[in-house]
Amino acid sequence: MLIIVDPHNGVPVYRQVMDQIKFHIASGILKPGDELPSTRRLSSRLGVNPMTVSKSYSFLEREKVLERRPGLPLVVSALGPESIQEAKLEQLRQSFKGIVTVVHQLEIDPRQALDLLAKMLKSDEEDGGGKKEKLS
Amino acid sequence: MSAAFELTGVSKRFGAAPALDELSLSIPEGSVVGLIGRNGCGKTTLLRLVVGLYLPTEGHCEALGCPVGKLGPDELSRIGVVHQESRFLVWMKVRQHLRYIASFYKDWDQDREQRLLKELELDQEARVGTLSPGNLQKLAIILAVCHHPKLLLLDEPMAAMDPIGREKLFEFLLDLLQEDGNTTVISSHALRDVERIVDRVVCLDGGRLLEDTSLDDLQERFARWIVTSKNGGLPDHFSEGYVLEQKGDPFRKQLLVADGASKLEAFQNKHHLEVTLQPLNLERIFPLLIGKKN
Amino acid sequence: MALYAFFRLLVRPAFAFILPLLVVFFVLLLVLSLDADISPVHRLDLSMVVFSLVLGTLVGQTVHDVRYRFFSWTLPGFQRKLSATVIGIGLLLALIWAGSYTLLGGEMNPIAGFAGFFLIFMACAAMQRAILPVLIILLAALIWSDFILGLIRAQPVGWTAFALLGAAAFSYAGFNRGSLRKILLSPHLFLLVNMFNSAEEARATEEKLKRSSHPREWLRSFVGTEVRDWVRAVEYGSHGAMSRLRSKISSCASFALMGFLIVQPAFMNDRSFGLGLEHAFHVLFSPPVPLEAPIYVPVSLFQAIWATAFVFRAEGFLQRGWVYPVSRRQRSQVVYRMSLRQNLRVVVMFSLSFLLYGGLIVFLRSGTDDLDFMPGFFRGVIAVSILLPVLQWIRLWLHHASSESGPRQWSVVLVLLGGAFFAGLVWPTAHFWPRIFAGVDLPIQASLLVALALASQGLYYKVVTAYYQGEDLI
Repeated sequence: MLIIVDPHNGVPVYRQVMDQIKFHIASGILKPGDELPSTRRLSSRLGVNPMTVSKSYSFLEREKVLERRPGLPLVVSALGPESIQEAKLEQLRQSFKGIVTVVHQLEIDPRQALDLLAKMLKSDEEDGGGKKEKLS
Repeated sequence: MSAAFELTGVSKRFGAAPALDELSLSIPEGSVVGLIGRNGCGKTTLLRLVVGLYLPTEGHCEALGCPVGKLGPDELSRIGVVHQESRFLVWMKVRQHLRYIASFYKDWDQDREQRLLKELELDQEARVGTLSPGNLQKLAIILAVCHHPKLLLLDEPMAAMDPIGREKLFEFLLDLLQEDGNTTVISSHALRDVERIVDRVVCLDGGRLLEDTSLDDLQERFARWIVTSKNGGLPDHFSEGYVLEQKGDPFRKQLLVADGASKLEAFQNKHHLEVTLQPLNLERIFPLLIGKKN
Repeated sequence: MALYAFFRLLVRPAFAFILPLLVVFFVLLLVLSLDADISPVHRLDLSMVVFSLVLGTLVGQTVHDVRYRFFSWTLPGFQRKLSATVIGIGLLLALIWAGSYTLLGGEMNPIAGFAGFFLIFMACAAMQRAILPVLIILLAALIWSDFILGLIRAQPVGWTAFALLGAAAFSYAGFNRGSLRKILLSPHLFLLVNMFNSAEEARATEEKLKRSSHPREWLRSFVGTEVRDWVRAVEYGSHGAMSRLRSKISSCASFALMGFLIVQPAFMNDRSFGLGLEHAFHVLFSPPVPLEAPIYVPVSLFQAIWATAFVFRAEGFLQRGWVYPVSRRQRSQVVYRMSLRQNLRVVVMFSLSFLLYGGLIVFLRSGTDDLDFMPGFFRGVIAVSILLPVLQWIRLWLHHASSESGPRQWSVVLVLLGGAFFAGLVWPTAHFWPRIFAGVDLPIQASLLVALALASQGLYYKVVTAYYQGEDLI
C-alpha cells in the first residue's frame, strides 16, 4: 500500500491519507480484513506528525471504513459487494467533478462530451486489454 | 488532557508599548504548535513568558502546572528551549559545552546526544566560537533535547540551517514526538517547514491572538476559487463577505475565500458561474489571516 | 555532576592563566620581603586582602559570564549551584588564610575571615554594577585604619558574624532569580546583541537608554575625506551613545577615586591601604629601598593602572566587519591618529592628577619631609609617552588575536598585568634614569628622552601600518 502525502499542497494531510486509503480499498489493493500499519509506523514513514495519522484513522473508523479491535491493529472493515461498488462510484464521482466543470466552461454539449468519454473508454479498453494480455 | 502551558488574560508591556495584549491561550499536552506571526508580533515575548524570563504585567501564566515566576528545578528539568539568539560559551569545545550543560540534568541521554551529533554532522572537537550560525543552531537544539523535555520551545530554531540540516532536523523532531510524546512549540517564519510537523497553529498579531486552531481546520477554512465565465460576464467586484481577495478579468477571476465552503452552492446559484476549488497551503493562508483582521 | 560544571567554568583559558600568575605574584611578594623590616603578619594582611579582591573579581566575572547567557535561565538549580560554589571558594580562602596566620605564629586574626568574605563580596559585586566593586575597594581601604582595626579586634566574633551576614545578603542579591532575570533582559545587553523581538520593545528599550544618556547628534551630511574626519566619525561610532556630561562624570569618578587612594596615606596612619600598596610595590620592585618612599611612587602606580585601563577600555578601532569606504592605508592612519589622541589625553590627565594630588599632599603634609614630587612627575610623563605605544601595540595584537574568547576576562587580566608592568617600568625609569645620566647635561638628557619617545611612536606607526596592510580585517 503506497501512500504519498504532500504537506504543502493545501489539502490537510489527514484528508490526503484518508482519501488514499479509501482509494486503495475501492481499487481492491486493501481487502476487507487487511491490517493497517500502526500510527507510529505510518507517520514515521510519511514523515508527518503521528497525531495526523491517528486523526485519519479515527475518521475512517467513524465512517466504518476501518474497524478497531482492542489490542490489535486496525483492519479494513468487511463490506458487502454493494458497498464496494458504491465506494468505487464515489471515487469516480470525485474525479468527474473537474471534468463536469470543464465541460460547462467550454460550453460543450453534454451529449458530445458523453460520446467522447465513451469513445475514450472503448479505445482504452482495447489498449488496456492488450497490455493485460502481455503482462499475464 | 491537561495543559502544557496556559496563559490567562496575559498582558506584557515594555514601557507603554504592549508586546502582548490580553492573551489567553491554552496548549494541551502532546500537541505540536506552530507559532506564527509577523516580525514583532510577540512570538518571542510569549516564549520568554512561558519559561519565566518575563513576568506578565497583567494576567496569569502557567507552564507545566506551575506559575512561571516560580518555576523550580523540577519543572525546569522538564523544559527544553532553543533561544533565537543562543549565545554560548565560545571558549569551550562542543564536547565540553555538552558536558557542562549535561551536568545540570539527572537524566541526560548520552545516546541521543551522540546520535544527534552524528546525524547533524557536528564536530565535537570544534570550538563553539568557530561554529557557523547554522552549526550553532544545531548545537542549541542538541542542548535542548537530550534531557527528554516534556515541553520543548523552539524560537526560530533553523533559520540559519542549510536544507539538508533542516531535513535531518525534521526527521529527528518527528522521532522525538514519537519517543517522548512531548509538547513542542515552534516559532518560525518558514511556514513550509512549520506546516510539515505541527498539528496546531497559533497566530499572533500585534500582541493579540489572531488564531488558535488546528492546521487542518485552517486548511479547510481557506480556499482559492477560480471562477470562469466564457462570455466575460463576471462582475467587477464580488461583494460577499467571505471573499477576502479577488483579482482577474471579466473572463476569469481568482477569489480567496474564508469559511466559504458552505456557501459555495449559493454562490454558484446566484452568479450562475463555474467554480474550481483549490486548496491553500499555510504560506498562502498566512497573509489572509493577517489581512482578514485589518 | 555539579562539581564538574563549575570546574569547567573556572578552568577557562584566561582564568587558568591568571590564577597561577597571581599566586606567583604573592609568593614572590612574601619571599622577597623576608629581609625587609616588616612583620609577616602585616605582609599577610596586605596580600590577603588584595588577593581576595582580585580573585573575587575574577570569579565574579566568570560567573557573570555564564549568568547572562540565555541558556542558563532554564538550567535546573543553576543559581543555587553557582552561589554555593562562590561561597565555598570564599570560605575555603578564609580557612587558608586563618591557617597561614596560625603557621606564622600570629594571633588568630579576624581579618582572615574578612578576606574570604571580601572574595564573596567582590564576586557578587563584579556581577552587579560597576559602582559596587569601587565601594568594596573603598571598604577594603578603610579596614586598615586603626579605628576600624581596633573595632574588629575588640569584637572579633561580632564582626565576623557581621561579615557573614553581609556576604549572605550580597549572595542573595547577586544570585536570586529576579536579579538574573534583570541581567538577562537588561537593555544594554539587548542593544549589545541586538535581539529585540519586537519593534515596540526596541523602541521602549531605546527610550529607557535615552533617559540615561543623550547621544550626541551626528550633524555632518558627508564624513569628509581627511584622516581627521574619519577619526571623528569613528569616535562618534564608539562613544556617540554617551553624552559629554556622562563621559565627563564617569572619568571624574575614576579620577576622584584615584585621588582618594593617593591622598589617603597623607592623612591616615601608616597601615592605610595606599601605603600598603606602596609597600608591596617596594617589596616587588626594589627590596633594598626603605619604606619611607617618595610620595610619587603610589601616585605613579595608580596612574599606571589607570592609564592601562584607559588604553584597554577605549575603542581605538574601526568597527569590525564593517566595510568603510577607506583604503587599508587610510585605515591604519585613522587608527594611528586615534592612538595619538589617546596618548595626549592620558598625558594630560596624568599631569593634571599628579599636580593636583601632589599639591594636595604637599598641602596636607606641610611641615613634614618628602615634598619634592616634581621629579617624579616629569619622569612619569616621560615614561608614559614612551610606554603608551607599547600598550597600544599589545592592544592591537589582542584585537587581532581575540576571537570572542572572553574579552571581559581578558580585559581585567590585562589591566592588572599591564598596570603592574607599566608601574614596574615607571619606577626604574624614575629611579635609575638620574644615575645613568649622572654628570650628563640636562639638554642632552631631554633630547635623548624625546628621541626615545619618538622612536617608540615611530615603531608603533610601523606596526600599525604593517598590520593593516597584511591582515584580514574581520
